Amino acid sequence: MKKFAKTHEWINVENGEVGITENAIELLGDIVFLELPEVGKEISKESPIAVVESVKAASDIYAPVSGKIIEKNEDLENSPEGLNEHPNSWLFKIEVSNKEELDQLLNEDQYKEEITE
Amino acid sequence: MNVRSNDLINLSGTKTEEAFSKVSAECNCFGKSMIDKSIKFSPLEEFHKENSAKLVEFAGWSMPIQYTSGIINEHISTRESCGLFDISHMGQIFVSGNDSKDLLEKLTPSDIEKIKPGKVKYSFLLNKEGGIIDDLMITNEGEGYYLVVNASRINEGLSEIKKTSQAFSNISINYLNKNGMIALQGPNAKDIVFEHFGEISQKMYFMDFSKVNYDGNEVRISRLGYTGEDGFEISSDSKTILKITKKISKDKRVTLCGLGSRDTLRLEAGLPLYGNELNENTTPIQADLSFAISQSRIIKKNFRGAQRIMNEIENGSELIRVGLKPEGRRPVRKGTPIMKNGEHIGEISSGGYGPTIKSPIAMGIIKSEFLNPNENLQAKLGDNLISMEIIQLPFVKHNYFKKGKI
Repeated sequence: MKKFAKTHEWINVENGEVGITENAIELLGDIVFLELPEVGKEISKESPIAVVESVKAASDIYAPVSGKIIEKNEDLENSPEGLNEHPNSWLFKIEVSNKEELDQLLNEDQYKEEITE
Repeated sequence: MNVRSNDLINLSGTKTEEAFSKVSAECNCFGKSMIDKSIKFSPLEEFHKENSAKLVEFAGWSMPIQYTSGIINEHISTRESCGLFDISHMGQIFVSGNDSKDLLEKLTPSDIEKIKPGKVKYSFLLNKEGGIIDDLMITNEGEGYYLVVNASRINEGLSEIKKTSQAFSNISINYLNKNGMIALQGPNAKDIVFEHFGEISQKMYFMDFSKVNYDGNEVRISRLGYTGEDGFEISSDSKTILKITKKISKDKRVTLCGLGSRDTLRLEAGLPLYGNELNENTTPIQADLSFAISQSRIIKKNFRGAQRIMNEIENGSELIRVGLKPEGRRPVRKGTPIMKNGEHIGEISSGGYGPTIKSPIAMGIIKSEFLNPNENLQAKLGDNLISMEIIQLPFVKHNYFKKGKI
């Protein structure tokens, strides 16, 4: 199951995979650069931990929850245009340190409501 | 995710800051319309919607930033075949009367006398200090001069032209704000224009102008553009321009293109943008556009800001526009500080990704003493320094159709 942050990140609660929403990718357009956090890095909820740049815009990606980075999608970092082709791709995996933070995130319906407001 | 910088929507000249904060804020509320009520609409507004354009506010206009295929595809299609751009936001002005030549000589550093009927010249409206009020195209139509100015500078340009014209008795200034305009750019543009407007286009070279009759309506055609490719700009009344656009857009060789690819194309072509490389404090010398100052005017030293500009021609300007190629894949954006050995020596004026050369590219304004071939500079992105090399512009060679070409 995916949970969502208002800042357009999602996290798979089963395996800690994190990505950005299709809606965000659609808005960014052609993605040309990704900078993902290093494996082992300790991160805290809502801090900027990655960068995504499209032809149009430069954006920060925020940690949806606190924890530790245990894996990053290096294939995608090497060919960021893959995110346009497969907008559901994960970017990095978090070992969640506080499961309660997951409950504070939005479910899919709440996120959809958020973006259509 | 939070949109930090949005170069493409940051394009506008006068209201750069406003436009930036506005669109930035809107971008964070994904999905909301960016269009407010005071906005101006192109005659192609409905056409854009029918073609699923993403519309944004640009210099007070609702304009497509891209269509469904995306900026990179629009960019590549223009380089390889033909892009169709709505440029109805550009200001079109017609100046006529016996004194119009003298008026334009007063406003610009160009030898207006030398622009023959049917020819176009790139020039500047200068202020008294030699700063650029706007860059523009001046066409001699025989019965008067047709000017195309930036959307973001129409108010400043028009008021300067009107103010200066008060010293003359025989001048008529007409703002053609009912006209629409499109650009067809790329190697297939010439065949398409030929098929729709007849052989006149085959006799035109780069910077030539013709007036043609299209179904009984007057159409202005200029062979030029803002992409570095061969191409045409076509202007007419709103109805006619819509008709032309609908017809040409059906052609399989044509891709609809928005302001997004217009910006990446002009950046690769090393062409300056008002509000980025050009402003009222910048002279044509600083902007590295001295080619556009006529020799005869330099000899006579009789143009606005001549004292400062002549000094810069002789001794060099303090600042200079350069092409920059950042190392790696990360684009550097407008406003990023440029450093050399810890010293802040300039700023990125335009920066992004070049889809043809598949790497980040930029232009910057730096202190002239650092203008050495292959000089290594750095862009300061937060705590990171990105290495950049000074590169001779353009990044992608111009394919203009000049005399002597087959």
